[in-house]
Amino acid sequence: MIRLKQFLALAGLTAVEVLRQPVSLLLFVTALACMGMSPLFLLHNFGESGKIVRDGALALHMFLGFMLAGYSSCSVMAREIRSGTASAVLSKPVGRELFFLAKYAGVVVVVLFFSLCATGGTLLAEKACEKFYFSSRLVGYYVDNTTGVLLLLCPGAACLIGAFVNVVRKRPFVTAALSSAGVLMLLLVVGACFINEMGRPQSFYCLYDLRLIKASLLICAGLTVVAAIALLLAVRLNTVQAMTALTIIFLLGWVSHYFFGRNADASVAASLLYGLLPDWQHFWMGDRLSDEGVIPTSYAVRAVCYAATYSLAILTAGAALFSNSEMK
Amino acid sequence: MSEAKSEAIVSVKGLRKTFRDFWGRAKVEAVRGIDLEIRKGEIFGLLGPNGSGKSTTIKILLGLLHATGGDVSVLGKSPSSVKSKERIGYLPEETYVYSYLTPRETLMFYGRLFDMDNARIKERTQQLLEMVGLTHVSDRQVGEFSKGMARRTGLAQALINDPDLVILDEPTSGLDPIGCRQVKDLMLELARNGKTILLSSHLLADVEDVCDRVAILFNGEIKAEGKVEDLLKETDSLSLTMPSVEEGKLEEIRQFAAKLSGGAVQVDHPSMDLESFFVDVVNRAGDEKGEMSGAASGTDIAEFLKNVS
Amino acid sequence: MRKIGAIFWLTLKSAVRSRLFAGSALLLFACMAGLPFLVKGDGTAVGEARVLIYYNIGIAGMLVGVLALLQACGAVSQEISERQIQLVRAKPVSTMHIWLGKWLGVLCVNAVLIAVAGTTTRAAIWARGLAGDDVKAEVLTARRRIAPAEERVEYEVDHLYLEMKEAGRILPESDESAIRQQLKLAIVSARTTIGPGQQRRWRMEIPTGTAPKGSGGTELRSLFNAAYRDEKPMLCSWRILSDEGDELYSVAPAAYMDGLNRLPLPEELVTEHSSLVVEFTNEETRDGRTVIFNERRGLEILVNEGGFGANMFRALLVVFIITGLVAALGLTMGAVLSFPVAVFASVGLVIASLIAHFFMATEVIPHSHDGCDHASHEEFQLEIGEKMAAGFERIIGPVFSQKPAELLSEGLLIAWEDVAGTALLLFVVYPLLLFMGGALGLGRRQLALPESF
Repeated sequence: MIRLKQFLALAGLTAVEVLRQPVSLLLFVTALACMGMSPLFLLHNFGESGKIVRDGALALHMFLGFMLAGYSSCSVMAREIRSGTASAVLSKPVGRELFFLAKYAGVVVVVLFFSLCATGGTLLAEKACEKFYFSSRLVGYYVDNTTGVLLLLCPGAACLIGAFVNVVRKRPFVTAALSSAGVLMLLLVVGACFINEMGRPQSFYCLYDLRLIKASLLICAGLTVVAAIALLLAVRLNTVQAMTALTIIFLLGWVSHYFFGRNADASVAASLLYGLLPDWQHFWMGDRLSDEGVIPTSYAVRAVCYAATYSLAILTAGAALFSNSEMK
Repeated sequence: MSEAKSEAIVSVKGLRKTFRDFWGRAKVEAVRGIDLEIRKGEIFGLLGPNGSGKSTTIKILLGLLHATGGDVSVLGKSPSSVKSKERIGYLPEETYVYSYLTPRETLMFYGRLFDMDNARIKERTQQLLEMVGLTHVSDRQVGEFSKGMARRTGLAQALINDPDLVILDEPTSGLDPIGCRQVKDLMLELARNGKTILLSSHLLADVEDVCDRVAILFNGEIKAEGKVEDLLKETDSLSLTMPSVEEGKLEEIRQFAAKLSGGAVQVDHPSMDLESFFVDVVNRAGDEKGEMSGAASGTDIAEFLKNVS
Repeated sequence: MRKIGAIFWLTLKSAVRSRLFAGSALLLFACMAGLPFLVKGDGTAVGEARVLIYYNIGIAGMLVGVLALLQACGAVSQEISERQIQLVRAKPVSTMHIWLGKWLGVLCVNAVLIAVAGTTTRAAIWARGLAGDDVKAEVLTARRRIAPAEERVEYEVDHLYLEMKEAGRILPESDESAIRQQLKLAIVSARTTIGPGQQRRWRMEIPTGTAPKGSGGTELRSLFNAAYRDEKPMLCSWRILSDEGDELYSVAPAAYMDGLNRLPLPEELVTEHSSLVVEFTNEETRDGRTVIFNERRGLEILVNEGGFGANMFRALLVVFIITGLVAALGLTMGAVLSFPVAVFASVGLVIASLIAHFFMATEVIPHSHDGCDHASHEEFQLEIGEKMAAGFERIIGPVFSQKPAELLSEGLLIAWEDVAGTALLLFVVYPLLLFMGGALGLGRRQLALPESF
């Protein structure tokens, strides 16, 4: 029981620490603002707007999520080790493995929150973008500007609420703004069901492309792997070194199937490298969604299992490494 | 120190520093209009509890922070002037040296920043390494050092350019007793050689030992300033010094001291030690002020422990 | 200078003593040595050599760029957060010294890493045994590419537009810019299409400094397709004329196959003339077909000018220049922002530039013709988007127009004058602007603020 309490306390503290960093707000705001802008500025692509907006939103989710998960993990671990805060905590009856895993859990909570907001943003952006409709009700290209504008205003409104809370209640601006962004996004996702394809009011009807939820879930799974790798690197490297190494692993992970995966059967070295490097292609479903494509549930389950297994292996290695590290 | 040393090395008038938050609102008023003058050749002590504005003042003098208001002149120049720093040596409150360099490389690096020639840097590096007692570990990286050893490296780098003004922020922090003694001796020696020293420290005994003048800061304001002996003098009472007498005659001594002792009677103002004086000033200032930006004095530790047990 | 030198030395030492430098060098070495054995070309030695060089130089540029960006972002921002900058700024050092010293340090690290990549790539080519005559002639060489002079079509577009307008073929409410764009496309495609019995002339400016190596290899290369494909060759003839119209060289009508065709030329043609006119005739025959020249590389004269080693050096130099610019960007961002925000801002800027470049480089027909009326605010949105992209493109265009990996893998010359021009803009002008911004920003920044401010 005490272990669970310690774990929750440490994980909660880590999540709060990450959510107070200005860069977290910057990443959230950028993600939502860019998602809001894309349907409004990408027009007249002969029905391709949907794909461009969808791919763009998923790419933002992946890339900004990578930055959030990567930097947060690197900074919470590397900084605590270097500043001696980790020593102070470990001088209490707290196990090193528990400390390490709680840090991971804290970062994952923030990543999940980011993914939720990004998924909402992706659904809304896709709903808002210009599409060709051919039904008994509608024929032609239509843009839902209302949803697009509301999505674009969402990060700004969240910042305003954050500022208000900061001025009046003296609560941290970043945390207040991020919480507001989450709430606003939830309200907007529900509220947009009352807006039709042309941006006019309608009775409740869901116009979202629900395939995007699975695609976003897979990206979120990928981001948890990023967090695990970053935490492992930060045990021995400082923030800049860990971020650099993580970026290289991230880049190599995108080409690992092309270079190693295809040759895995023919070469032991290629197979080993393919096993060692994460294959991000498993989590990228942007292309799969084109032409009314679907993501089979069995595939999604397998990809999530891959993420879980990979993260588990990395976390085991990280915990072992952390247990053998000398603290300042 | 003699009165002839009148050239003002540091001059501060009405200095104010306000830290603002993201919205530009004043969050902390760290320095609230202080006036200060440090003259050539003196050792000036800057005292105050945590958060009283000592380090902020020092960082403004070095141009690391920008003043919100007031005039600051260091060696006759603005703190933002790069030129003025040629004659300054600075040791910050924590030793912010590069962990991946050795002490020798650290000194060589800082020497080059002063545009000193290589031969001079090498000579000076060797002297300073010997002075701080790091010659035998001069090729180990600072990151592997204890806090005290790193502090010694920091102290050496502050003197690499043979500065006219040495600013030392908690110089004895982390040093062993011998190191502390050496630092105090060093400060006295530097002052004898005409160098000016600005010392910020919590160790009042150190300050009392070496400083010519001190200023006590509280909540960003100077609450007391002057020569150490003047400040410690209790002008509202007298002390009587005489050879010891029998117990029974104490009362009579009190009344007729001079007459009964038969020896020379010395009448003088009594002196407190600096620690008592400091606590007194801070307590009085604390009673006057409602809101503080720095640390407030806590409850008595012994009392706390007694209550807990 | 000594102050800059001291900061440079410090940056170098920091890189060398951290595991970052050794790790990066090792990774680059592994990539450069390993990739050639994993990547497969089209099955020919020439194809494999091309793919090897393209991937190796491209990946080296990308990895060194990423390393440079992160290292530069952290160079100043980390010193501020870890407070070492306080000791440095307490010394007589200006922010300009700090910026320049750090930049030179990162450049030096880049130079070493690029040298590792280059040397390993060269060794990998040798180790893969890609040194046959065909590879030497096509890839391991440095040929100057002389393309037809850019032909301006605006005059013809104007002429045609007015003609159509006068003839009443343009409705008053039509979008003029869209019609002009269509006309331009039509004119350009008409120029690349030559029917049987038709002739087409291109003017080729020979750049000053063109100096054939003297071992042959100067050739006219054409790439065209027949309007419909079959196995039969086409009968075509070529003539090279002077500016005045005098015939300098000609080839009697001969059979040409659909695709790439090479015609050896005497070297004097490019050494003795400052411009040439190339004339192509699609001879009228019973099986004659219309030919369509490739828009990008339909016609070119290739002049063998030098060896692969020197060309590779210049390609690596261009990579070095670009990574130097990336480092300058990271350094300036790190001087005014914290590390994560600096990385975010720099990467964001690079990505925004890439997107703008992509949109501007893709010649999309500007407005829709889907038949529905778009509201004026949509037009406004379009205009803003286009203007933003165009603005970005104007600034970053010269960066993305550099293609060292592509040119080197194609065996095309990267001329010294091009390298010098690139260096002037990307290594002097842009970094100078970033330098001023970074030094000014760092000077104005309060370096000893408590952590929460």
